[in-house]
Amino acid sequence: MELDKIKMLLDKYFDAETTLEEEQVLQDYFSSNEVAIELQEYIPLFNFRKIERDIEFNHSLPKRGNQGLYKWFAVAASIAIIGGLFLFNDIKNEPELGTYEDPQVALQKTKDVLNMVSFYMNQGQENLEYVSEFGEVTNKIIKTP
Amino acid sequence: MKHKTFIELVGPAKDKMYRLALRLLVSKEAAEDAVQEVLMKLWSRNEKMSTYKNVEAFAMTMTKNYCFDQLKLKQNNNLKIVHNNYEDHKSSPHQILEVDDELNFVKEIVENLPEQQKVIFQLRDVEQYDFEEIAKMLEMNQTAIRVALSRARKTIREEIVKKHKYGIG
Repeated sequence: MELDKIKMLLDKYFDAETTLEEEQVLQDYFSSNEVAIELQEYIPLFNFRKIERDIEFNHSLPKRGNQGLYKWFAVAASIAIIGGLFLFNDIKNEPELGTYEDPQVALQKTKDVLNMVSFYMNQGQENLEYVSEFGEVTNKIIKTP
Repeated sequence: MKHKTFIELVGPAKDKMYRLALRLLVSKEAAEDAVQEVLMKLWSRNEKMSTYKNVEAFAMTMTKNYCFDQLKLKQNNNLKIVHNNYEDHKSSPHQILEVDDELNFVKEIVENLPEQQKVIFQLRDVEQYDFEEIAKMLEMNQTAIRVALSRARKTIREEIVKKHKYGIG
């Protein structure tokens, strides 16, 4: 009687006509130790159903919760940068750059500076006169046509 | 919605999502990635989430769609190769060997089922959803689901019977 019922449920199961409760009856039957020999081939199937249900997801869930915090870090950083720039500009404006109020004095000073530059330039050029000596010597040895 | 509320809402579903992804993608790593990805997507639209009646069903649908996309894209080139995730589910020694072997045999049959049947078998036989819920998740009608499930179960039965008749399947 019991076996007939199980067989009938099994047929229903393979036709996908069983309810969840009926499937649970089958599950319990095949999990017991009193499975009829002719039905024992189905034990692995029902074991499989049960065992697959025990697999768990052990990874951590996404941690997007900190995102808000990072956003405030970004805000703080940009404030610091902008603030820093303004502060730096103020410091740069402070030191005396040697500006002259009177145009005459300014012209004179500029001329002085330019003269000084040209003086040093010419001084350097004097040393270059010796370079031609090197040219003469090589020309004596290597006779270019 | 706060992060904590989200975890509480999705937490119970995450194992089911993982098992479905694992069933479809076979590789553990790919399945883990899939679950993370789907959770991210859910989280990114969390304002809308309160409007969904059944977050779990929605999460399952998303997982299924994501896995199908992955399979279609063939992004995971090594997917078919890495399927040696079989584990010892029982601790006792060699007597169990045969039982374990039979379990792996069933697993192999399930793995070779068509994708749609795999999903339905997973949702019904493993997760034990009722047909109404499965119909909602897969956007299919219940009759079609019953037909596919019956086919899947019968395929498994045929393979098992075949194996028992001719020894090693």
